Amino acid sequence: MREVFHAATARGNATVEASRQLSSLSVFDSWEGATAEARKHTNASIRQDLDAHGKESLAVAQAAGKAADDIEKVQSELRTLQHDASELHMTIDPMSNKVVPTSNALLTEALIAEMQLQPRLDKILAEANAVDAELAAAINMADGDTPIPEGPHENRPEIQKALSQPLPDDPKKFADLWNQLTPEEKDWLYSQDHDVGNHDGMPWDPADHLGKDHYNRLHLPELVQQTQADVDEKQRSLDDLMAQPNADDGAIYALQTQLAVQRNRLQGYQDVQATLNKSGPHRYLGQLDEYGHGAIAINNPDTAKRNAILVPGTGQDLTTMDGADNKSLAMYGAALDADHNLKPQDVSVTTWMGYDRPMDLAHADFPDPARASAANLDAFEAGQRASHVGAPSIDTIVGHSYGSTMVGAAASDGHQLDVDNVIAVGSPGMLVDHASDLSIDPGGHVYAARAENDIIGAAGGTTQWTLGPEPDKQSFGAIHLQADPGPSWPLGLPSIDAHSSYWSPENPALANMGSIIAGKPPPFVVGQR
Amino acid sequence: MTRAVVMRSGIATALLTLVLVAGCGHQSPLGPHTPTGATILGGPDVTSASPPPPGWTQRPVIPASQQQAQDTIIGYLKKTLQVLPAGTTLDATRYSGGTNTPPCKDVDTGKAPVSFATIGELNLPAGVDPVGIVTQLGETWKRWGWYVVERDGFRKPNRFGYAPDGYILQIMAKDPVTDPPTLKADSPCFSGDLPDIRGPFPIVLKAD
Repeated sequence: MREVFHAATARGNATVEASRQLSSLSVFDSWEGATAEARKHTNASIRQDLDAHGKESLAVAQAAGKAADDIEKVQSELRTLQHDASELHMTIDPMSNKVVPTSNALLTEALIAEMQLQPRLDKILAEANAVDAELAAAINMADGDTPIPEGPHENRPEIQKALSQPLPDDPKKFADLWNQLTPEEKDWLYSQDHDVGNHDGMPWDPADHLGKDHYNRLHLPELVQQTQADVDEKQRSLDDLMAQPNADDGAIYALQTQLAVQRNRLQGYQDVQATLNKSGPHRYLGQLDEYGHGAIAINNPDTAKRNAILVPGTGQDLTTMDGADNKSLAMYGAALDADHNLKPQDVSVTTWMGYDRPMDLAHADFPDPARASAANLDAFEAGQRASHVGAPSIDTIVGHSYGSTMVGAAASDGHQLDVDNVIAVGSPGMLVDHASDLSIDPGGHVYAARAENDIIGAAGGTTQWTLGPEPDKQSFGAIHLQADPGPSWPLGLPSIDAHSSYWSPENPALANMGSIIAGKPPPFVVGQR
Repeated sequence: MTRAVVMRSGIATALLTLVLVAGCGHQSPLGPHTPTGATILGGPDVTSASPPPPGWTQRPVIPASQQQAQDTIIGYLKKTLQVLPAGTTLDATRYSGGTNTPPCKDVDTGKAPVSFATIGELNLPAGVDPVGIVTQLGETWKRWGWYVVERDGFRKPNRFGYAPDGYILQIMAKDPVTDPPTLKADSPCFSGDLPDIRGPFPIVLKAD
């Protein structure tokens, strides 16, 4: 697929370049009369043909390129899963699509390993099915079975060239290009790729309102429809299978799992829609894809003077977007409360669910989900900076639970987070030994808050081996923020409720986070700063 | 990752999961927040959960709808405004409406229990001392039979008023104290499955 991509791109570029050179020939400009008119007409006609041919090649190239990218992603995830399975004395049965123990696995260990690995395999299978559909579309365009949409006409050579290539990955370059495009060109790019609204660096809601928010809102009902169709189809398949007298238990289990994944995804999209419809400050849809990733901002980050990103943790997928958005809203209010000079539009808080977070505690011991998406969060924040209008905002990133591990991954091991402040809330570890190991903006601050009764403290004995030391430990070097102890279980045992208590209106942790987001020193810290 | 680490991690995870699963059944997701980090006015300083004063009992009234939670809060806020100088308003303009339903806890499945919370600023008539208003409201809430404390870990002066029905009001001076103080309200936690149906919350609330 990569070769097809390169071949089609080269062919498309060459054709478009020929068209451009033809259009720039000045030799006919001085001609007059019928012959000259005929020549000019022929020239224009040839150019139109070349344009159309070039765009066909490039459309095929773009489809092939995307399929190649996605195939590589699936292959990489599968390799990682196979490696992890091998470490746990498990293997993948390609016939049943199940993770099964090898002969030397212990029963208890195998049960735990299956709980950890099977959901990851199910997700990879779902992604592989999506890639399969993309690939089919690319092949259909290449052999002419599917018509290729018309491209926009563009006289500016540099824009024509940019549109004839894959869109830039660099958020700054993307923002620069996007801000020069006409509305027709933006719409054309969406027609080519309905994920275009997820490009880091695309403005959230520019003057023509054709930005992330517009295109992701267009995509949302399509994803709902596609996912609903997938649910219906899988339900029919399951019903048919169950009706068979000797149905294979493995096949039934696999189908039930896939159906559950799709139902959950559908519920997630519906929760995204409900969150966008909420009253209060306007919500902007900054990210949405077929893998259940999403991001919703309170107010427009591009024009805010204070920006924050909340990265939720274990178990927080799109089906919990509404609740996570309410945590963001609580921080929005706390920031405005901390500085009376800030106006409502001056503060924006984005809930970022752009990674495949662990969905249960059994998976939350491992760094792989965070490391796999480190580049995503790094690039998302770079995109925030690239599309921002006016003086740079004060940017704060808040990672809760495993979300703080995600933040750590995005600020270490070669990644850089372009933020002024990092707040680790109820963190099991940030994949670094010390706050100074996090790569953030020069002069940036790292804060940590942990409720006394937060169960994450009890897990620290384990996660220190896999996720690094807890950031609230003095040796980590973060500024420790005050937080309420939170509720405890009987006999003073730590609780889960304390782990999610930081956004209560009566918790000083919320006031502290609000002050930091507002760009003011946190008023209440523990020990020395 | 070494096998030893994986083993240790796996066993600890299993134990942790057992602890968590075993504990889930003992927690009530509904009810009032526990006051913590409080200083009982007239009593000793404390740094963690404070016992309510003698004779003070709480019987949380769990809202049966978001409208009920909002109505109760508006009632308490209006009653509060009525004891303040004429012309005082509670303004939520800066907070884009100032209402929220933050989750009381995260849950693995279904909707998390939430509370209904509001935030706004007390716009006082010219010449009224904001610091004195904080003290005055604390005394007022005590007269209503509420449990009132000034809490550490927040801007001071502040007063947190815990009503017997589980609702909480808090008044807090700004920094600088000459800015309008913040007045917040919070309901007891209730089921997140209750539909988000309620009338609009007043952007500017008056006493009448």
